[in-house]
Amino acid sequence: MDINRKFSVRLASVAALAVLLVFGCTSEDDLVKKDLFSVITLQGQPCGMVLSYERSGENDYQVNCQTGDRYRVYVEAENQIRIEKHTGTPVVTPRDHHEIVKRDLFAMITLAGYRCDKVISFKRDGPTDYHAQCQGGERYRVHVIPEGRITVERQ
Amino acid sequence: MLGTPAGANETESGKERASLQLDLVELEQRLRATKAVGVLTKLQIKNQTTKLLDELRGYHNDKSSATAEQLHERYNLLVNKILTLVQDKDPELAHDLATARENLWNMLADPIQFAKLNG
Repeated sequence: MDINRKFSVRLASVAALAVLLVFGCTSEDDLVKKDLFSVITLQGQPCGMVLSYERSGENDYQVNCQTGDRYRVYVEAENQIRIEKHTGTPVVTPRDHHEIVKRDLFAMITLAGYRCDKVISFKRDGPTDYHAQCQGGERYRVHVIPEGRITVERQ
Repeated sequence: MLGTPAGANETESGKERASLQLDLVELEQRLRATKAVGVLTKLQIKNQTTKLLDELRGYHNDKSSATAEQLHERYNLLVNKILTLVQDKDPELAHDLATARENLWNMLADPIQFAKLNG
């Protein structure tokens, strides 16, 4: 009985240490993943979540996303962030205003934790009140509530 | 002037203008300092802000194809994206940014104040 108890305590200690080690090692890793996810999403590109990345330079990352998309994210001269698809095609900022709005709605929906592969259309109900439809059929309302918070609601 | 009531800024005192500029500098510093977003995300926000400022500069110099309404919408969307990023982890910054939204736009929309911002 006593031996079993000692064994249980030791097992629990080992398990707790393992948890600490895992979390200790991944916290910085998770921050980088989150950072890369935000950068890719702000540029309107699908990612789902960052599964893994490889650092090829100080500010140069090869990123693998949950969606299967792969990107290179790097910082150029004058702190310009560049994103390239795995094919080497650079991700460029849309010039058309309508496309800019779609990109930004996609970013807000995705950063709020909702699924959206791409915003295909939207309707404006006010200066900061939008109804967006995503490629997969999902519909969201993105608006500012009176306290100033941005709210995304699935509809 | 972009999307602001006629004459609204003419009546604004120099003191108020200086205060607005101070708010902008302070907000920029707080955005740089916040731990709610990572370094790369901050750079991305900075790049997108610079792009919007370039477009506004073009508009004030009659060299932009974007309309006043479009620029105002792009500004609001940029603010909304920043709010989405910071509102859960830095609610104080989000609150102050949301509160300053209209004042900041009024400053950017006024060609005289905008020119002063650019030194």
